Amino acid sequence: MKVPYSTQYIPPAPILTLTLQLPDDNKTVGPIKAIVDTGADATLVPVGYLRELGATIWDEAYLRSQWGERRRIFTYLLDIRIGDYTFPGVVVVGDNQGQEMILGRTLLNQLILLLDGPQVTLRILTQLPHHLE
Amino acid sequence: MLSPYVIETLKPLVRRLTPGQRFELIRWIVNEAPSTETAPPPAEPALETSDANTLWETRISAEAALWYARSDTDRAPYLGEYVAVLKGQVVDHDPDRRALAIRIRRQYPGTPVLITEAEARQPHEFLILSPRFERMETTYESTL
Repeated sequence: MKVPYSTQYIPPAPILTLTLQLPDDNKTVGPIKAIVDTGADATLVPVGYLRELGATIWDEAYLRSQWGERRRIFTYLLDIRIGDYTFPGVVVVGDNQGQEMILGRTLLNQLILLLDGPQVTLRILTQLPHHLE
Repeated sequence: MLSPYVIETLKPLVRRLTPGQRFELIRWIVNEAPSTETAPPPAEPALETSDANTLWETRISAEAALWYARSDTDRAPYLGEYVAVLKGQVVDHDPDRRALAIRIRRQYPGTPVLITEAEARQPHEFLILSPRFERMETTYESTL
């Protein structure tokens, strides 16, 4: 799977288009473009999408920036579809201020990603190239 | 890619246009129409919905505070699992958080139930280490 970077960011940023779904419901929300952010522990979803789905708050947590600012947030559990891949039961953080979805390592760590900066392209690999094994 | 809904909506409208008008419409979509690459977030919820969400959040926080205060003895039967907590009581538990969440939504619809790790003694903390530049359009472009 090969996806061009979004040029809406400067510099261009890797993004993935995905669909959100409740674990126990066929209702989906998407397509949504999400920025791929390996610096983020968590996956952030604007609360508007979560409310549209009827997603349930299950737990509370804190979100902290590298400068120590901390805010209380709430977490949800969603199935996330990216192309042919489905990731069941991903913990996501509800973002009640931003309008941008951020894919953090709770999901990214399940993927083999190739960030090809010069070609401004992200690839999801099904396996490592032989010379990297 | 346009959704089937958008295509069905546009079809009867475009049929009425002359070839010149169709060309002008395409030109406008390409050059001037706002981007629709991403499904727009829904409008802000009505006050009632917002109040309901706040109440739900408050109850989840209260359940969490009760769970964090539980003793090791209370937690021992559930170690390595996720617990579902309602009014301070464990109503279900499972090592599979997703399976637990599905059961709880079915058994307690519309009721705030905490699902957390049995070992949790405080809220989990997520780090976001990705600051952004706030780009100053004029200054930035003038330096290119």
